[in-house]
Amino acid sequence: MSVAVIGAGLAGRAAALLLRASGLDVTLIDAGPGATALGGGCVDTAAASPGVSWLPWRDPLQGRPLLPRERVQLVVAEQPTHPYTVAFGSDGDAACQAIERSIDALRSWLSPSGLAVEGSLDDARVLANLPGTVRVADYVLTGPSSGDLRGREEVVWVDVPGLEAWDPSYAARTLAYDLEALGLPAPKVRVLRGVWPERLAEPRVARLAPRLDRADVQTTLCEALAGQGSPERLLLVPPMLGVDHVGACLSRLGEATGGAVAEVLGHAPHATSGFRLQRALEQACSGVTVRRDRVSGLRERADGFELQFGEEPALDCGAVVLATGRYVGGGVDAAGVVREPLLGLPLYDADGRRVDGVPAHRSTRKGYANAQPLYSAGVRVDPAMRPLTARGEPWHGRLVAAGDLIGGFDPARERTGMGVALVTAARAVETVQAEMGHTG
Amino acid sequence: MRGYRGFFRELGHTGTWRALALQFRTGAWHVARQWMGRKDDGDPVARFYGHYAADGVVAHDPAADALARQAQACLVCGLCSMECARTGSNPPLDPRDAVVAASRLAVDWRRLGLSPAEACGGCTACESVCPAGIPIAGIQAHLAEIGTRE
Ligand SMILES: Cc1cc2nc3c(=O)[nH]c(=O)nc-3n(C[C@H](O)[C@H](O)[C@H](O)COP(=O)(O)OP(=O)(O)OC[C@H]3O[C@@H](n4cnc5c(N)ncnc54)[C@H](O)[C@@H]3O)c2cc1C
Ligand code: SF4
Ligand code: SF4
Repeated sequence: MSVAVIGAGLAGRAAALLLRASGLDVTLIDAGPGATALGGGCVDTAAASPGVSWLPWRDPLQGRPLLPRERVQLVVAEQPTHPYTVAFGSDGDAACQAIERSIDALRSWLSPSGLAVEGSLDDARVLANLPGTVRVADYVLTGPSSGDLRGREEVVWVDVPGLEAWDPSYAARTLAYDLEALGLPAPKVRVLRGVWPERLAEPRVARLAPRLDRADVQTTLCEALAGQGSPERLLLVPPMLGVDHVGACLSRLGEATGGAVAEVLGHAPHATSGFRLQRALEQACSGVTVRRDRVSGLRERADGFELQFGEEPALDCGAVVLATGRYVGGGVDAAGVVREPLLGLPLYDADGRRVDGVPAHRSTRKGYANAQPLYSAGVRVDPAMRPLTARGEPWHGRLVAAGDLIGGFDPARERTGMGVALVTAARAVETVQAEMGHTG
Repeated sequence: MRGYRGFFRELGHTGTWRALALQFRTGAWHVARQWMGRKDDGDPVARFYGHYAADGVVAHDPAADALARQAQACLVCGLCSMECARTGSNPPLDPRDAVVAASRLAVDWRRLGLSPAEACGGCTACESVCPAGIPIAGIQAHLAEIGTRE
């Protein structure tokens, strides 16, 4: 009997690749991209956005940013509903090891597409976001990975005239202000105007990025920026240096400018980073059986499950990995009343309160900085990643969940989103292997 | 006096004179014609267009309403635009703009800057990456069709 993975974002694809590596027969159900394709250029496992993420981001005594490893320890100590804590209890070291194993696997999946995952749990990079705010990052994809602000004397924002919804002077002011306010070493920040080639003036990141995959367009940009860099100066460009060949574009720009060039962090529609990740994952899954369809229902059978696809023929399988994401992916529906559409599973927020069955607006609180129950809503799982019913029992022994569908944390603001996707997928796969009598 | 329901919206969107003109025609001129017993004959839909098509006002049509409702699920993420550009197409209307425009129930095609009979290639590459599963190519074709009605 095969295993069905429902959902083709980071969690679903990671689960499918791990299952296939262990010799199980997998079918990945792909209903198009979800949150993974909209994400920023970071694979956050324990990163922080100062002022947004609610756990402390720096050491209160020494003032330095906390290392990602220390933040994992904080998460398992302070957040009992977080998936890391659910999976590993208060054992932060085990959580860190699982994260590192998952990142190694991710590296091997992405490297054929030329996308590298740089960073470690023992280094806290300081990166700039598109509006000029700051993120303390752990793992970063090719593109923004060379944009560490630490140890730079000068940071230069390259102006892209006409780019929609972006103002480099505003970003530069914000960056200078934020670095100082946060007590981080502050380089000189300025804006480089008048060098961006005329023929690359285009309001949309989404239309500009694919053009920068072409060698002749890259040459135009290299000629325009030639000699503008130096080893102490970092050139920051909006996140649009190509879709499929960002590595090539960056290294050519580095050579031409004679210094460091990096993309800043941003998410869709102002960045292509998530789409690159999604495409690289799709390539990595080229050997996996994929069915392009949306699951409309799931029925339990004597020897497993039957997946329904509306009018299309059903699919029988022995185990199911639910990786349907949240609001973007469609695993949790917030149009009207909050609910999990496939099985009607109960949903809980980070404080362990039920949030399903009530209108979405009742699960929000006033104030941007406050924890929002709606943002942390998802299914509750046991340590083996089996979704729990309202009575606290597993829904089924061979039904596991992974990724954003699991609640108890806020993937957007806590900066552990993709880390949870990877770690829960690995744990869910272990459960399936044990249930199906396979060992990897 | 009955008024044109979209008066304030129209005032905000297109300025005073056009709104006042519409207000006059719907609220006073038609009432006066009815009162004088003038009968219009012919197909009411055709008559509607006769009166208002020049103002860019379109009649509700169930198929278009269904498309508009689907378009309202748009996240404005721009993945469709990226995929469209990746395939090398350059449609007169960017797919994301098309979806956002179609999500407004009554579309005034003249505001889109779309000249008649300019549909995109209809390759549906954009649809394969849309997280909301919106029939983008169908929306493009629909908008172009509104453009050609004129
Ligand atoms: C704008 C934005 C920016 C973000 N930035 C970052 C960042 O910089 N760093 C970071 O680490 N995290 C970031 N996150 C969070 C991160 O993207 C998510 O935590 C992570 O990608 C979740 O992966 P997933 O596979 O669980 O969900 P998704 O990627 O949403 O995948 C769910 C999949 O399930 C499919 N699906 C749903 N229902 C069905 C069904 N019935 N049948 C078949 N398929 C179905 C969907 O089509 C979708 O492909 C961001 C999120 C957003 C929205
Ligand atoms: S169907 Fe039209 S809008 Fe969509 S990708 Fe093709 S050309 Fe672009
Ligand atoms: S891909 Fe879909 S959701 Fe995203 S902007 Fe285009 S139409 Fe809207």
